[in-house]
Amino acid sequence: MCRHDSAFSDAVAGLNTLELCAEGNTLVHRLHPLVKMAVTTIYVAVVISFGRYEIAALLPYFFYPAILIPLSETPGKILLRRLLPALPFSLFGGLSNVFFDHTPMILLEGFVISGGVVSFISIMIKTVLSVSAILLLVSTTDMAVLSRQLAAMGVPGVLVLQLTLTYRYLAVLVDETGTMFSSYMLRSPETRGVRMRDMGTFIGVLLLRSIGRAERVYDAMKCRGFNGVYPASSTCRPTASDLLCLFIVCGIIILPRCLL
Amino acid sequence: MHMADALLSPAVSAVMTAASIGSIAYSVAKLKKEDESGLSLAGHGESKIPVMGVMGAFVFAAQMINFTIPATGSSGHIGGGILLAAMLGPYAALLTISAVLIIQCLFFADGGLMALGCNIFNMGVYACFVAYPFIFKPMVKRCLSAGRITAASIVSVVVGLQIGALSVVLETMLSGVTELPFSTFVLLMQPIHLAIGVGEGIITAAVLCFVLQMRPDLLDFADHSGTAQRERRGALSFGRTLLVLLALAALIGGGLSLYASAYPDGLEWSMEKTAGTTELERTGSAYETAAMIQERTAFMPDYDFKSAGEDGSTFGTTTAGIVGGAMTLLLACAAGAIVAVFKRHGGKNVSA
Amino acid sequence: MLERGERVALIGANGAGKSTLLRAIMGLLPITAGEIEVDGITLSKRTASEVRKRVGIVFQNPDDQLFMASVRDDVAFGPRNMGLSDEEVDCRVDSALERLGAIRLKERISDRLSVGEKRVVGVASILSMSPGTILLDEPSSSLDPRSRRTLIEMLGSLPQAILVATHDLDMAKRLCPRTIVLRQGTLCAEGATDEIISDEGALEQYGL
Repeated sequence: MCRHDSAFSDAVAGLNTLELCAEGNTLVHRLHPLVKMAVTTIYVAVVISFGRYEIAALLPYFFYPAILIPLSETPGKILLRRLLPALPFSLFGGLSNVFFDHTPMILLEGFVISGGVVSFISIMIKTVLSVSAILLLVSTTDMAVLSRQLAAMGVPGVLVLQLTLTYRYLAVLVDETGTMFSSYMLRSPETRGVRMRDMGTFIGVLLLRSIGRAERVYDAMKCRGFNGVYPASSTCRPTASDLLCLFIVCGIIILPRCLL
Repeated sequence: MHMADALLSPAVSAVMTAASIGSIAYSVAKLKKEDESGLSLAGHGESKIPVMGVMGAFVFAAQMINFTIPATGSSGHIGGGILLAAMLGPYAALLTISAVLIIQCLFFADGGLMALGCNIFNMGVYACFVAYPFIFKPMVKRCLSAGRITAASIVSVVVGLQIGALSVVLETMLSGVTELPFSTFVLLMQPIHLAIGVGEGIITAAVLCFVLQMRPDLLDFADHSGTAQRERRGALSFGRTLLVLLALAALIGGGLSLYASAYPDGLEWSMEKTAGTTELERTGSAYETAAMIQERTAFMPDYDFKSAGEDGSTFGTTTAGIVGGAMTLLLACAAGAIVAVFKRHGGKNVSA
Repeated sequence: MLERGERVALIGANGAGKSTLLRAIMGLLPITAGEIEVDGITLSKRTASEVRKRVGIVFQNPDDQLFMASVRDDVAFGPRNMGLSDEEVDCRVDSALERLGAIRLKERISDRLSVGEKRVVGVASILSMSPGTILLDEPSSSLDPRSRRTLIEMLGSLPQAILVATHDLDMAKRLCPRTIVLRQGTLCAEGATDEIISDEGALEQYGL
């Protein structure tokens, strides 16, 4: 029960902490969303493009989060906590290298370090770098701004509205589920979670409630003139300094990749 | 089943991203057509978009309810692909799942930005475009009974997840970042996802039966079943579908076990080997054995990275390299600290 | 029967049909008997979109009312659907929020607002479409006393005609000179709010 309860509150709290960060007003927050999205994508692409035995060349890329965290005033602790869920899959894949790749790679004080260990470290570095870059994007740009930018970039309105609505009702429905779950658990003290035979009804009720909400939301949308087409919104164009920033940062990110 | 950025090569990522963008674009186009012909939302001529949006959030909430996989002690939760397809139709379902995965990637660090294409394909496209139209729908076409829905749900969820899991293995292998042998990886992934699939299938079935009782108008497949049944008589019947599936399962299962038995207990054996050689004596035997295992088990034995160790280019990098690396990290931290101090200072000035 | 700029309360027991009436006026429900007319337009499936430009509704649950990610997008949703230019939309968003003293909320995320703030933004999301009439479903429910007072003052200062479905008799008295009582889907009393509310015997009969 505790595990589940904390899962519900964690999900909402996690979302909230990141949202709170995005309400900040630093140099990074004020950058044009297009710049931040482009830089993040290029950064992640460059990081994963390094060979699998590469460690040394990856290290300079720690400058990016190291500088961006204080610059955007993102609390490092929150970032670190949000980073954890990303680790297991990489850890699994990385550890397998330790077991299967015994190619001797590095001689260190009489010890040989195998290629597996090297590539394992490389994978974990790549994971930390790429995930923190994504988290830094959302901790400095809120969802409303992101979806406006996506729409401006020509992403179909259906998908943009889909993202907006999913994001908007996430906390609402998770909260509602948490309440349902608590009231279920309070009346069935002997079980650890929802029993398999109650699963259909439990999730079914949740589903019908969600649909009920969807129908009310649709009513509200229709009353405000919605006719099935997502109205594209205005976005300001990136300024000259935004573009300059984009080119400089991308240059700094790409250059070491070409040289090393 | 969320793949991570760090295990992917840019090439695989690019291909899968393109494939997923293609599927999404196709769905958007199809949905627009549906909207125009007034077919959507159970034929009421209403837009499906708001329902899709809230259903995306529903999937999040439903994924917080875990079920325990018997005999393993681990737990799983529903992915929701078939459930969404059965409620919204395959195109709307794919968009819904994509939005869920994008938000998971951005806000929950679950699956990376470069892996997004893979994840949408593995968890969305297979369920919505393969399992639902080719397995689920034919199986419930004849009649809409609880039994039919249950069988269809379980089979389609299991098949969708199996293809998805296999796809994860292939994408990881083709990326060449990990060293895990194909057979071991497959033997790890497929059974786990079989168990999860059965669990999810049962839950999906229970939920759909509940909806069938309460609001049958909401089901995507329910309103078509009456008319479509007579129109497409030539399509696969329930029994025949089941037969085809069984044959397919036997074929895949047989093939896999043949393949696997050629390399007995790959993981355990090599783990033992590594444990015995943690100090890595510089005698050649350990390497030779290791190299031999690689040759035998590797998916792509000619992959050029493997010989990198021998020619001395990476081998023999000494302590100097490590010191240099540590310096870089220290510098990065120092740069961050300077920015932090500078900001704090600047902040004071502003407030003063 | 709603005059220009008039404020009317709609009261009745649970299930009396208050919300149903409001939804019917917006063209969200099929009309089985009678006719609804707004500014000389008879409501039908064809005219629903015209009616919705003239009448706005604020739903009871602010989470249904506000569906976009940020306050700005939500208030801009209506005007944008009306096909206005970007500048015109921005201008309407600002003036609607300013009118209600909520311009500071403009860049906030909808989900992070308090219930009181959500109600205000809900009204702003309608106001930005500049309708002649605003319908409100239980606007004062689950508000603390101070937010409730603020809301009543705010609604009282609007030039639009207002129809409020509510259980909050005190608000009805303060805000609306006229009251309509519904009972089991039919109109059973109509008159000055003070008179209707002071007649406790009749209220008891209406289930209030």
